[in-house]
Amino acid sequence: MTVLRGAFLALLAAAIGAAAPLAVAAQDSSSAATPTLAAPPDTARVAGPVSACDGCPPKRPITAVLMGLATNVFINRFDTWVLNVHDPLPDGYYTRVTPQSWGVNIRKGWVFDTDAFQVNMFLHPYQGGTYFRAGRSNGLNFWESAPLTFLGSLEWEYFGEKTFPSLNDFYNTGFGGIVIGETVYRFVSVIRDNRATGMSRVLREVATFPLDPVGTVKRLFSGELWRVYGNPGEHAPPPLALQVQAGVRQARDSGLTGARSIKGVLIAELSYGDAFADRYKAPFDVFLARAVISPGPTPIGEFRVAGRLYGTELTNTSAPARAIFTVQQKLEYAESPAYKFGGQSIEAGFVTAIGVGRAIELRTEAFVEGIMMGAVDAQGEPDTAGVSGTPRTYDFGPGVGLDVAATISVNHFPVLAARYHWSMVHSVSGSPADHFTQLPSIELALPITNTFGVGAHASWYARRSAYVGRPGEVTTFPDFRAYLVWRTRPRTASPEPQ
Amino acid sequence: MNAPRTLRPGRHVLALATLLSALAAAPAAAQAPAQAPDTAPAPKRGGNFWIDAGAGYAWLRLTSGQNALNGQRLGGVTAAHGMAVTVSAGGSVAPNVLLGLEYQTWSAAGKNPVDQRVRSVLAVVQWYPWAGIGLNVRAGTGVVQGPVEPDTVSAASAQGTGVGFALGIGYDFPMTRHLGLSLQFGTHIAAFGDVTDNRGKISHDVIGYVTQIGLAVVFR
Repeated sequence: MTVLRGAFLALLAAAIGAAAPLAVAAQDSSSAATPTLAAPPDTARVAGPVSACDGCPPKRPITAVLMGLATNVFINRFDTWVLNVHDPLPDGYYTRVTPQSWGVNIRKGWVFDTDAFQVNMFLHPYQGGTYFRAGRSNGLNFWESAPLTFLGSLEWEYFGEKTFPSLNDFYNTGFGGIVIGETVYRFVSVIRDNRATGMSRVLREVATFPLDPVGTVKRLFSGELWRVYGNPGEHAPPPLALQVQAGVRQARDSGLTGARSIKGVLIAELSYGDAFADRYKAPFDVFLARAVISPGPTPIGEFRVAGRLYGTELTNTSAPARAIFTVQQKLEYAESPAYKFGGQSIEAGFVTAIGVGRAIELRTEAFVEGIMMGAVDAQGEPDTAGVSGTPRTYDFGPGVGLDVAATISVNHFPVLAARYHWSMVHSVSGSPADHFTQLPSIELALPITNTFGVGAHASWYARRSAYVGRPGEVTTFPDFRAYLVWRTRPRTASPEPQ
Repeated sequence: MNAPRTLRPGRHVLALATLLSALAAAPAAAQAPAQAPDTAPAPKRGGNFWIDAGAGYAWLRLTSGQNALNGQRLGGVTAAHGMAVTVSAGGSVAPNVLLGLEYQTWSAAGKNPVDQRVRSVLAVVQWYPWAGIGLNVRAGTGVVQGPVEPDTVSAASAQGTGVGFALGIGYDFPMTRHLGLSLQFGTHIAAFGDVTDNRGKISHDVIGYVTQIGLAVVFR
């Protein structure tokens, strides 16, 4: 019975979001006819929401807001009726919201919650991404879609759960949602092909559903799912390169036993755009996304995305050594047997490219980082971090960081990559501490063919925690990997036929 | 191409009426194609300097230990009246979007057992939904700091540094081409988190809400 109710509500929530375009279309016609502009009458009569291109959806902000709301209604009802989610006290059946719980949440205000690391640092950004893509799938651009992640988060925190609104969720859903939302939007735009037909079209649409369920539902109800029409500009992306590493990993458990484990590991890295191939056009026209998958309670052990928000060339584009001032937004999530670290940050710095001969290239990057909301675990001793008696084994807080990297590529195949990340996170929830982390890492790859090779990775995560009123703590966590590596050569999709 | 945003007098009556109705109508207006009259254009894209300086009445509500798991973490709510001074400056990044830094300091009024202050430095974005109308929405995030009194029973001072964000609305009333007054209303949420007061007591999840209504001199 609850499954049926869940299915019904799922359809209802999807229909609310998707039917909105129809209602809004009528709204658009009437508003467009209002003589508020000195536009030619014919234009005013036919003018509806504005499309940026042939394949771009019309701009419909109200629909986007309603779809974000429908997403929250759907998640809440699915959790309540289908999953019947329940947490130990004090949360209980936390999705069974009532007007009374809404009132309590509004009166009481914000807290830092005690949820598990993966929930806070990965699932909330993913949820935020659905709000963002509601904007993108309704024709809004990057900046116009960004506020939707915060609005969706506010709705969820105040009205989607009985637990008090959580400040860390607001930051992670809001800022993380922008990163995941735009990354996924650009990625699924490459996969989707509005001009494709038959099985190719079906497979493309099915493949994008897990990544962009909100966009797929919207396409279903608007008819875009099967209509043959133009593609948005993002369908023909800048240079794309995918690298996959598959092998084994040895890491030390961060628990008290410090047990060493050897597990399989799969690493996928997507490089979208090339800062040195095209001038800055729009946010996230260049980004790097990296995911590490390893067997265990949290299969996605690492997820890091850094996307360019702004860039300006400081050198001549034909110079042998070039430098670009870059501002980028970063989402970092790492939950491995070795350590936990995550955060939402903004970085500013320089990327450089130096050509050595025709086939060899050295690229470097150096960024200073402002961490808006970081999370660091510190379980070296009992109760040194987090909130005792809860899944929270980590601290929250803002911080600063430094990110430097250098990569040597031969014929576009990165043979040597070194990276160093330093951060200081000032804990505001958990233990009274300042956490200093360092993560030097090096990757070596030996190409066997143009696209295939073998490689190895070594990193050494080190954390020093300075506690108030108690001795500090220093811990190190080595991590070694050996793998086969396969990498596509950077390629650009064929231009859209006119 | 939009001309630089400037402040022009003579729209005050319209402004007051719009201030009350604008938020309710905002989504619908935003839904329509961009066709607002261009009588007072929005900021020019690319680097136009702007600065605001203002002050006003502000009220601090401080909560702690709301996420109580047991008696140890239970906290309370304190409140204090005071005054906030805000200075913001930056540049315009789009025809109707300003980006900048904001510094705000709040201090309690009158004689209090604890000298409470809440200071914040935030990166802010300010958006004018309609060209020609001074209504704006401001949001930002950054770092907060200050001595606060999380518990009125012990009347102790706790120094905290944390993360904060701000939400607010405002309305610009032009006086000259570049100078005007702005009526501003907003909240700074200051998450100090876990703080230890000067008597050694730890208060968890201390979060302050500085709600302010004030007037600012604005230069665009």
